Amino acid sequence: MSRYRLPRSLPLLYALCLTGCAAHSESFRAVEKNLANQQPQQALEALDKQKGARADEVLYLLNKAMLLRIAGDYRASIESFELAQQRMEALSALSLREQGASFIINDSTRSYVGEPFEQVMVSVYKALNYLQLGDRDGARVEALQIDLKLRAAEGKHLGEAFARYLTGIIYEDLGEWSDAMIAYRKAYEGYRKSSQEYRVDVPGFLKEDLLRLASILDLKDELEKYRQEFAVQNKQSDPPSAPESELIFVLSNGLAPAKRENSVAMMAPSRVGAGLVRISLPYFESRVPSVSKAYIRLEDRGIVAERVENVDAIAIATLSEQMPEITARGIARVVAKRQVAMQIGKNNKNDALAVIADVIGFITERADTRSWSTLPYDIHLARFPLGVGSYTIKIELRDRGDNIVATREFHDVLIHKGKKTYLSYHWINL
Amino acid sequence: MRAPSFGARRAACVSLMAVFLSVFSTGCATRVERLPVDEVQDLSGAWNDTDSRLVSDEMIKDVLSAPWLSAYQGAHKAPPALIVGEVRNLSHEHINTQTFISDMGRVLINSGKVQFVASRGQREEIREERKDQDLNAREDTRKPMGMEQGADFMLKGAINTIVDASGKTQVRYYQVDLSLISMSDNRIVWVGQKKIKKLVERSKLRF
Repeated sequence: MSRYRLPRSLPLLYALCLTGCAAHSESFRAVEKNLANQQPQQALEALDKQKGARADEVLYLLNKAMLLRIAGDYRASIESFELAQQRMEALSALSLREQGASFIINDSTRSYVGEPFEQVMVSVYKALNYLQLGDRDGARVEALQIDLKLRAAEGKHLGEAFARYLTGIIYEDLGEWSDAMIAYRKAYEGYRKSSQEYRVDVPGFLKEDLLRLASILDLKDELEKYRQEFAVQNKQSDPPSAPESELIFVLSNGLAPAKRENSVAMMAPSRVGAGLVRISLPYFESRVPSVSKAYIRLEDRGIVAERVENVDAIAIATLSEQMPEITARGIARVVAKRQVAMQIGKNNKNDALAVIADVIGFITERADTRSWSTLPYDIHLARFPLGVGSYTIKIELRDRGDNIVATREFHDVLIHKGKKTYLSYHWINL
Repeated sequence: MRAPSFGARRAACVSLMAVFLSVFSTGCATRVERLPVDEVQDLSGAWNDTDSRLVSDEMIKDVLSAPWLSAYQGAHKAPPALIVGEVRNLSHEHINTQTFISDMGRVLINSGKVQFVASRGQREEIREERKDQDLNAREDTRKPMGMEQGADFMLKGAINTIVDASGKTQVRYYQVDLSLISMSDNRIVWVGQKKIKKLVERSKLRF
């Protein structure tokens, strides 16, 4: 009988190998290369070619939305984000089937639902898309979504500070002062709590916003408190008044860290049955961009954008929080795979089958290297008060030594009376 | 144990394939079922056609029975002309406010009790056409400029929401406010309100 069984199990073997063999982050390199060459359209084509397993659908939609955004197609980007969001919601329920598969094959068999901070980032980038299209009410919907997500999320690495700051800007743009104030306060709180861990200071723009709104809303005690905390020298001077209209520039800089795999092959101790086993764990590889500063120039005036979010640090902190659980699952899986192999060998009195089961177990033991890697490394923001008119805005991207790495000009940037104009740019160079 | 004969094996194989085929063919075909438009189908808990219809039904009933209409008709002996202004979506969902606005417009116009004038976007297009007529249309069919009817009232409003969530359970509260504002003196002559409350419980398990 056993002579028949071997060839019959071959297709199964092959299928198992396929699910386990390609690590996600490796196959994504073609897309990133196109991005680095400033070819978002080609990157989209490369992405479509590798539209793979259904379990990775959310990831595909997120990356697609980001690439569409980079290509300047904000409407299509919103649609793709919307689809991703719907899938994320549907997948938030626990699947016993996937849990089981992750226990016997590997973690990549589970549907990708996105880390909590990635779910917040969906709304952040969707809001930026709406703002870019001039749809303030659309952006406001996302601001409310951000609030809902932050309230519901478990886990502490959510990128709350910048998400709150952005919602504050949206409310302020709509003239909703008290909502803006609440958001700015929470953003300030968020930056203070996380500045050490994420290496992002409270942005100077936010300090000005807090002073301005505390003054507009006539919150005297709070205004005094902020004056002391921000060490505002001239106490008699009026806080900065609300600018008539302004330009808000958002730089998405570089790419988020890529998840890679670290595998160790070893001999299993005889207690679980001697044999070669492998354990694979993910780790993040930071991709530090050469750009660390952005200058916004308008003729002789200039302003420096400030770093408002360190996506790299948030992603790494999220993974390190999950590592104990991922490691425990990996070890449990190795033991389970060994047991299955031994059982197969014993039941069929055939060592060859046990070896094959071992090999399958070995090959399929891959780390889950899926992550939303088209997010930026970090985000910089600048608020530039400008009078009504049409401008040519020059962006200078500089490295740590203050050398210019790249420049980009935006022509016919329209500033309307009493409104904010949003300009975003994603700079990628690997 | 005797190995099964070649024929028996083939028969087993064919029947297995038939089962597979039937499973796949039912799984792949797109199935379409037509539904009556007033049937309630709640899928995700988000704002849907039923909410839109409930709002327009309620608002229409209210606006036609309110005293502003008879007061205007008594004073002017003609139906008032309305224009649709902005209905802002201040909710946490992307809602298309056009559906219940056009529903309301249709019933109100057909009732003969009020008139509607074209909104800002529509007017632009019509003016373009009139300009074109000025150049290209026959004298006796040409429509002159400056003869548009001005609106007496503007319909404005907003959708607001409050969401309370805990785990997989959410209570969604929608409030739609519409008001009718007199163009001549900014008086608010009518305020309509519709509230909708839903309890949404998400599944904890999936396949």
